[in-house]
Amino acid sequence: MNKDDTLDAKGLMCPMPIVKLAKKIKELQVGQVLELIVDDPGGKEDVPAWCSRTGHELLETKQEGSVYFFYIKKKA
Amino acid sequence: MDKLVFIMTHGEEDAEKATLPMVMAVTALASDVEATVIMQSSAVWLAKKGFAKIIHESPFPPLAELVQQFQEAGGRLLVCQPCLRKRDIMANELIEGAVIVNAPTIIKEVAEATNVLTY
Repeated sequence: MNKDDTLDAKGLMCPMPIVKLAKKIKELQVGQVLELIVDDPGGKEDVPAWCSRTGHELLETKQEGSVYFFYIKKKA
Repeated sequence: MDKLVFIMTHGEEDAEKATLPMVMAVTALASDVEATVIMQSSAVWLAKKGFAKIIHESPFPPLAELVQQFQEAGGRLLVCQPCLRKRDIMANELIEGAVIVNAPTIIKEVAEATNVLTY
């Protein structure tokens, strides 16, 4: 998966991954893809919920052990 | 835009309940949802300068950090005037951005909200 930027939120607990995600996505250009890395178990549900709420497109999710990788395309 | 109101009624005596509404409000703002926090009862202590610094309910972030995030993200913080008066907390003792209100303003906020969560 191509990415334009990465936000490593490992070690952060609710609500900080989403707070930092919301700030980071504002730095991207429309159509760019952000890689978000979290290890908070709630992230598996939280990130899709946030994308659904905000309209940013969740392109792909993968899991490596207890770490989740999300690829989010910034909406117009 | 949807608007949520979070009513806080706990302070130092229940650090988790004092922290949770600010966690939720910060998350609301990060999710493109308008958020207003209303402090009533002993929660009004949290609007006093320096007071939130003593509350850190792990694993949540420190309350003072959450309040700062909330205000930086554009959250509206209202504080109940009779609750302040009951505790002899003066207006000049409150953190910057805190707005002192009475019941009519709170009713307006609640009536206009998409939903209200009370802690």
